[in-house]
Amino acid sequence: MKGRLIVFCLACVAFLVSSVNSVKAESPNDILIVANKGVSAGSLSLDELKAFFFKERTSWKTGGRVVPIHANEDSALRKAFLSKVLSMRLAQEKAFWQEQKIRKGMAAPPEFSNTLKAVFKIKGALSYIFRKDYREGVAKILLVLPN
Amino acid sequence: MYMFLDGIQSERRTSMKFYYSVRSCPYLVAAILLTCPSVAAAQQTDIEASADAGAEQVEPDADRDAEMEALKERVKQLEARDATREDQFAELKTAQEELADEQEMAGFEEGMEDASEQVFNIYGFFDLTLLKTFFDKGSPYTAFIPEKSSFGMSNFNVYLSSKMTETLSALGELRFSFLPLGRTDAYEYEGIPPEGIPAQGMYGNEYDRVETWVTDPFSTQFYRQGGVSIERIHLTYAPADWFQIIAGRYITPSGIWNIDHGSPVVLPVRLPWMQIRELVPLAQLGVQVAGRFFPTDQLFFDYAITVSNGRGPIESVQDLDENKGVGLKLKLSYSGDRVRFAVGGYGYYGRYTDSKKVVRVFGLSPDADPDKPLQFEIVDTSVYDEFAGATDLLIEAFGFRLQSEYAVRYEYIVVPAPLDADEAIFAGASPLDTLYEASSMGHDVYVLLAYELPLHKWISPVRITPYVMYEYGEVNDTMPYVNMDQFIGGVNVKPSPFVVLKAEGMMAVSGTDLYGSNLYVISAQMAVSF
Repeated sequence: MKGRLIVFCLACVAFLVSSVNSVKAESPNDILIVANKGVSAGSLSLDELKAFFFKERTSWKTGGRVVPIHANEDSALRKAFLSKVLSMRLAQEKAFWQEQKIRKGMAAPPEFSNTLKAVFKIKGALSYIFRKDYREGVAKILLVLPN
Repeated sequence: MYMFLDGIQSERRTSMKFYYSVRSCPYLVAAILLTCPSVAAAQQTDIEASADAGAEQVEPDADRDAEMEALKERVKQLEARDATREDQFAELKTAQEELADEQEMAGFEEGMEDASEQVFNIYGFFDLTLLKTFFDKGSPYTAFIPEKSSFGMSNFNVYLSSKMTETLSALGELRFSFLPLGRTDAYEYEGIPPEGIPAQGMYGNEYDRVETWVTDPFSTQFYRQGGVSIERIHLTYAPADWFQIIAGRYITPSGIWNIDHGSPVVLPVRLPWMQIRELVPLAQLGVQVAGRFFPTDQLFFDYAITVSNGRGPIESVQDLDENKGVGLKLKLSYSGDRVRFAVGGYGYYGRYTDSKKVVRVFGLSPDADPDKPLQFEIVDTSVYDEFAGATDLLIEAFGFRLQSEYAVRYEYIVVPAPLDADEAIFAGASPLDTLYEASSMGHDVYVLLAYELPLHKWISPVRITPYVMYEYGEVNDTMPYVNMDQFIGGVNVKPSPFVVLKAEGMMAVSGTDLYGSNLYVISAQMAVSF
């Protein structure tokens, strides 16, 4: 009985270690949430990120305006971001912004084919990119969403 | 001997082939040496075995050994050169990547400039509604709504929005309409002569409906003019989430329906009675200070302070008194992963003033002052103070939407205005009687429950949302004929983000027996945003 318990505990530890390793493992399809290097914020919560992309929140906690930037709507990156962060499909997002335009005159975030370029250039910009497309030093990583 | 010589020559040929192979393909040699040491070892063993076999007959060949040593030395040199080339190749690759990055950076400078430029948008919405009403023949409902089935277009709203800078933006919403075409200006009362009874203040008795035909003098073509209403036009200065200033004509930041207001956004076809009777002013002209705080990442606290001309007969042009309408909005919202919740309130106080301008000319007016032979005096004809409050609740969870608003309004009459003939008859009087407004109290509440069917896996992007709504409306306790309870049920279908189709049935129960039976309305609507 004692031996079985020890085996069970070891199995649990092995499972946990393997889980931690799998979480830490980097994948080229991880989504990196990146901001312009001039942004002084060092990190971002998922709720803040959602609020920025729904324009419920428009300023960084550390000051300055946030400019959320989407990838092109037909890109795999945009679909992955919508699914993982905003929990909606493209059609739902379109409908949301159609309604927001009528309610409050609010427009959807602008789209760029190369979000990293846009983040590099635009002051206060916030966007996302697959890890495989990231270039060191071009933007600041605020959050990593594992694949 | 010959055999030995043949063996030597054969070995030499093999060595020479190997040598030439080494010369022609150093990578191949390196690969073979690295990946197949056993082959090389075997080859060496064969050579040694061959030498051992021959040793019984001849002495070891010194030239051959030297040649083998030279070959080995040559292989080492080639391996060293290969390693150097790999290092050089890696350095070149790094340099190329750095150059590509630099070129990309340079491209950013040119490509991204547009992002900070002024953004101007034009968009809007319109709707087409088919309506059929059912009520007793001859009922006073005939005065307000079409008796025959009819198509109608109530909304054609065009938005003009501009974001001039990071913190400065402007928004305009224009509502185009075929109105005032068809508006009834006067009814014809049986028993009263066409010229009316001037002695009793009634001039004329003919049915009058607005006609808007005009003629183009250039082409002589006839066409009907329409109307334009400025729903809102304002500048917004928003330096931070917690502080923004809105100046111009703005939509009152009260409730849910008033902010949603567009037919592609709201679920039902019919507006709530509280919106139609405007318990709270729908829009105001003035200044608004608003903002949002974040107690947590998922919790938002909104505030807004409004100062405006308030309500008035011409409040969008000018205020006819010094008393400004003031309001305060407070709202708390929670935005979770699958649950959204908001509760808010708006309070408003203002004074309504209507007036006329009376001219006093010396010699004509008995009250005129000879020292001031020409005077204009403003005389108030209708004044009341109003206090209005509204609360709203919205819960969205797992496809369900529960929306409710309550509004209350108290109107205190300071200078009573006379009711017009149409209002007098609904109050149970003769059109010739002169009645006056009285202080009043009104309140209204509606509850809307909707559920978006979970069919998106099969019919996405189509969204189907059935809904039911109940409204209790006692909007004026001195005018029971404007009070009404509504029961509404329908379905809202969005086949695309830009088109909404609605089908709805409604039953209204009046606050008075004046209307006879209940009112039943079936309607279908197509609302389009563009």
